[in-house]
Amino acid sequence: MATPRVTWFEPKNRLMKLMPGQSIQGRWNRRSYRIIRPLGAGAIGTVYLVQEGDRKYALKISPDAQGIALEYRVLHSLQRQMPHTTSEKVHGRRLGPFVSEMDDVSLENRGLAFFYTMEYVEGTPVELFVRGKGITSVRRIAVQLLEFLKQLHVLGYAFGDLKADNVLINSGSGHLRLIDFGGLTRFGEGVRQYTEWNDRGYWHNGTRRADCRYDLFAAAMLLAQLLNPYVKRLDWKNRDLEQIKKILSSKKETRIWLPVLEKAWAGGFDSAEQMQSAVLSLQLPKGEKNKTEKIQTIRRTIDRELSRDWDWTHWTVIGMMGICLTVMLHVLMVQ
Amino acid sequence: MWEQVTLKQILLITDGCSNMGADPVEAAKKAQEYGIAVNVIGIVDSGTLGNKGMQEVQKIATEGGGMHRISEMRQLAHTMQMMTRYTMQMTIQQAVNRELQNIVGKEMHDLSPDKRMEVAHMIDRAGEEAELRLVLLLDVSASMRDKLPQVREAVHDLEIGIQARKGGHQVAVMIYPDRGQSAKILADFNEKQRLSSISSELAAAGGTPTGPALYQAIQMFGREGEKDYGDAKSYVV
Repeated sequence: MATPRVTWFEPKNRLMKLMPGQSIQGRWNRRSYRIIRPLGAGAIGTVYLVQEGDRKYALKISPDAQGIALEYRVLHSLQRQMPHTTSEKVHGRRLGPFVSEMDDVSLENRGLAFFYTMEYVEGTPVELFVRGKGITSVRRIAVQLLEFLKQLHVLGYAFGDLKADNVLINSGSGHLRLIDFGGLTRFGEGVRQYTEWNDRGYWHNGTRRADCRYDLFAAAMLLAQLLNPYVKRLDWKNRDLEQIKKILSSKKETRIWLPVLEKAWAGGFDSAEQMQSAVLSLQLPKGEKNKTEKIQTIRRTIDRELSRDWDWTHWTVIGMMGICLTVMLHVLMVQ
Repeated sequence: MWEQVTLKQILLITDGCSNMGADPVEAAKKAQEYGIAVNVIGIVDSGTLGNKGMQEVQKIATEGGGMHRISEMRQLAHTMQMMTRYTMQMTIQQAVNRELQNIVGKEMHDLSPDKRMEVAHMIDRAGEEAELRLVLLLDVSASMRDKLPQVREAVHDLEIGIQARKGGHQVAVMIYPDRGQSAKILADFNEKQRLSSISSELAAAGGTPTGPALYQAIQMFGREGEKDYGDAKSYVV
């Protein structure tokens, strides 16, 4: 009997190396995908950008049949449940990546590999994004993140492995998306994947059993890291949140976040919604940063407009500008 | 129904190669015959493990039907937790595969993606709800001694993880080498653990009797271990 292969403990297995240009064809559905490039590696497998015809997907592949099947199943069921919640309709954004199909392929010398395909989510890792935009961008990120958690919690799941690497921001629209749902855990069960920095149990602040507060703790750790990346560089192995508080309280822009973070660390919020409204009611300092932010927003809007396909609105604007110019010239000439 | 299934594991943590008494690989084989999975973590910080040690770590786990990982001290806690979890799933998966073989002559890999998804879900549930009996076997020979505070922390961390599960659990802690015997029970199943005493124990000088210690760990499971999953029938859904 073949021993089930589990990927987690053997990094060399985890990297199911596939070459750009290589094609893999599913054993069951016979659909064929061409590898474009690797996108990253999660706890259970490697993710590639692939192409089928003219459509692009992200493809997660692993020798771990169990892990792939479970992840696909949970994403699939999220997908089915989502349209019923109202906030989805309002925001028009999906909770998880849209999953397409699951299959397996026999690779030369390496036996069976299991994969599923999903929508390709583009974006900048959140830490990089904040480094570019400044910490005034953290609030919008927090609000969006908590909006996602709110929707997920309604379905009875905790995200589990909430960490900076799993949060992407679309640099054009500023929209947030979560990736790698391998940690998704039903409330009341043991969290299946976690990262020590974001794990409540690690910090001696509660159990590792999935509930909404588990995610809120992880979210607060993530926010602390975004507000000041240095907190993660100090020696946090002695598991003392006081150190982090100290660092964040040294600057005004980060100090105001402390009440929210501390409450989340202590499990004081009953829901993501509560934490979200606490974030929204923060009195962030207004200063020059806000001005530059505004200018940036305008510039971004212009950039976005220009990069869009040109349609009648653009021509209308140009036409109006032309008319204005003519009128002005006319007035000047007359004078 | 999964609450009635008991999964048995030994988790061995060592930083050296065995050099006394019975062959640990044989011991691991024995454990597997009794339906006990043996996991091994080799600690590499001090560098005493070496090539020979690494190979031994791997062999013990392979024969013991478990997993192995070479880890640095700072990853120990996370490694212990993930290993225990994955091994539970793996054990159940093996049993399910056996049953599938018996009933339909197929393994999980041969099922269509749709059906496989449901089997995976069932295995996942089982891993969450089954009872876990775990013996932690800690090498406290000289080179490990200054790492013991961290080991204690990691054991504590593992407990947090195990407690979060729906299913019941019993954990026993053993250390080796010990004077007179090869291994010593620090805490038996069901006993409140005296984790603090892990660090205060002074190991007998010299050897690393990994093999004999493993045999002793097997005895912890008593006679109910009996032969290889006699209760495999209980997996039938």
